[in-house]
Amino acid sequence: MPITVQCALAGIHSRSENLVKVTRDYDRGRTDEAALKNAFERDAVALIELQKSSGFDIFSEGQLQWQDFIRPFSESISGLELRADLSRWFDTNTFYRKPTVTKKLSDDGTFNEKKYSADAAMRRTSRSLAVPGPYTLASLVDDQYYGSKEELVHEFAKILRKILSDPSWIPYSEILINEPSLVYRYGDSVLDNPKNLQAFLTAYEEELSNLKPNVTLHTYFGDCSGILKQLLSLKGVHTLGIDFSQTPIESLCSFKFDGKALGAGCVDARSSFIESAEWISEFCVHAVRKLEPSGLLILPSSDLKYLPRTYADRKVSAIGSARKLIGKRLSE
Amino acid sequence: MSSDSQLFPTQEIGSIAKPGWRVKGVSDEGRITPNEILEAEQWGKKLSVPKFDELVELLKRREKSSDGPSEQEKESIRDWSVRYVLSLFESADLDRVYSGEQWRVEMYEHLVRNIQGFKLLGSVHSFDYKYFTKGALVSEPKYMHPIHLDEYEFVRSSTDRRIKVPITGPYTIVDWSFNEYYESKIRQKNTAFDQLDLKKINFEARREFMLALVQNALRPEVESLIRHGVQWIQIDEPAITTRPDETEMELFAEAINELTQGFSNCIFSVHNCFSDYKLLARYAPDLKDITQLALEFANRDGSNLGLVPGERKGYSDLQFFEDEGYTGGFGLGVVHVHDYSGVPGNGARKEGRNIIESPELVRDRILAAAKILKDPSRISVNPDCGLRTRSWAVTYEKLKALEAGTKLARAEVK
Repeated sequence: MPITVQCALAGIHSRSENLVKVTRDYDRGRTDEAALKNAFERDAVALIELQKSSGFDIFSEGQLQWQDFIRPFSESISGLELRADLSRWFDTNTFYRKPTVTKKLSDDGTFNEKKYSADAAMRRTSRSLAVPGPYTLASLVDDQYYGSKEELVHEFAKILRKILSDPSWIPYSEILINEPSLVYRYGDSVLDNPKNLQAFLTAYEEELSNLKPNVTLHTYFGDCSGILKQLLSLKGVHTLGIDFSQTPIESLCSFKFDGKALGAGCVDARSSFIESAEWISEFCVHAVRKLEPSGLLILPSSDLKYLPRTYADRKVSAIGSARKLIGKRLSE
Repeated sequence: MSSDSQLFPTQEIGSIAKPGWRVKGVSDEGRITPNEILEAEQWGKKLSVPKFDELVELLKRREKSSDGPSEQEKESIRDWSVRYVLSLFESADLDRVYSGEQWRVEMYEHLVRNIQGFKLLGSVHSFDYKYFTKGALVSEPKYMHPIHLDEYEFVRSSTDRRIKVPITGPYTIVDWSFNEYYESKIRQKNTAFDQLDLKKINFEARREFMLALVQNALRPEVESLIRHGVQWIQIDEPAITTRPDETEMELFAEAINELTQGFSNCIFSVHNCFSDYKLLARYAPDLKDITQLALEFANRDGSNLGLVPGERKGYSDLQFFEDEGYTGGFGLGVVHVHDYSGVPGNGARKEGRNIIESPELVRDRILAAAKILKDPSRISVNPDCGLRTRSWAVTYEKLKALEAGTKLARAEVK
């Protein structure tokens, strides 16, 4: 039976060398805010154009202005205070500013004003945006108020529901809820703590299972095979994203994706080795035959911000080209 | 007077901020300003840099010139910046010194630009508006020419103090690079999707990269340095424990042992910071030729005076190493090197975005460490890391406090 094959980006894209220069100049007081805004806009438009020419039909503006993946939330959720020091972002050589939870969390309504960029280029297109999931948010903050991970996960799920239910999300057909902390092996792993996994599942089902756009729950930076069964049973998740640079496909073969689409994160976002469209399509066809998903979303394994822009862009092109090949191969 | 043989010898760790006149002085576009000339003059006087007026004259000529600097002028300015750093360290009375890495672009790029097989690919976002240049290994790594020898010989001719040469370690170079060469080589051998395990492939490729880098490029460099008289090499490994995985830590230990084995007449130390010491401690006894671990501790410590464990919580991590049976030395980080946003206790004061530790706080940190390690001769004293993000004024204050605090600690132990 033919299945829908789509592709999308999975988070923050890489900034171009020109944007790097402008942001550095801005940081050192050598250029003004208007020049900075223009540079971000140009970069986002170029990325949208690239997705269009590569054959995408869901478009991301690259979330280029996000200083780290949780910053827009750290700055728009009341009860979070940004710390000055830096924390490592998982096992990458990149960093984020960890917020401290100092009081009861509430949405101050400013996140939805911040998420747009390149609005003109995105007009009349299906949009996607990636946001951190409740478990990841709860794992990456310094909690000095709730004292309970379960409660904190639930609280973030509630706030996400409020944010994602805003009418401003109408142009978005796809939301990626990224949950690296669910599968990252170190720290507060759910594999060692079933109570935390249950807290996530409950919070998700109670708060996030009725969102309007399609939801891709994307797990990366770790092997998801240990919790795949539970994730496959989650209501309201249209697509389950898997980082195949961390999860061997054969470890998933006892599971069937009945009714859920597969987010195939087979393009390694942390390697400058460029996978060919041929290889991506062959891998995806193999995955579809093994896992029998209801649809296929081709993804990078995580954000492409870990690569210089030209390399990130080459991966985008390869994903788009692979999509065209997969349709043909699946019908063979 | 400085002596490396006294209790608690003091040392620097690595990079020091490049002065404005150093940065602009070697740039074809940069114009030297009167303020930068004044800075060179003031620090020259303060640190008693020999013949510093020659630098001031050179900078004044550069200020008036509309042409870019000649290669000779650039070289001269780079040399002066090393002399200034050495005077800074000597004035603070440190026992073991080096160049403040004034000749290097930075710790990663300097090395990969000088090893065959690497290609710099472009900028990668680190945080906010900060980026790093990332390279890829695109062919087998090969040694081309000595990388640090000129720098070492210049330092040796410019100071009588003991010299410790920092080099970037294999684990960090591999961790901070893309690995196109070995990844594509191994992927070509693994074409069946049924057996496809990209994580395993990436690790295998990473190991091949690391061991080839050690054998083909880093060992020849170490051998050349030792042959020319280097007696202490500090291997900088900020990336270890980034991937908190047993196999990764075993790989780190394997690469370090491969790098250092068989060399006599040279001390090897490893510098690491902002890391998971519980994990590092498990592998510390496996580092066969490493005499000292130079680590950051001040950053994780409180700033009230006192020796009770509650006050000196940063140094309690030393116990991990004791528990794992590590018997080597420590380079004890006793001053913080980054921005400080907290409220300091009674052992320090805040100055802008800096915390300035008092000599008494440095003393207490050393004494607390000595109590855990039982043998004070295992301790050398240093900043947490290179001080390159601090101004020279702050760096100088911190180094003076470090030296004064060390003297107080020596008096207590005697």
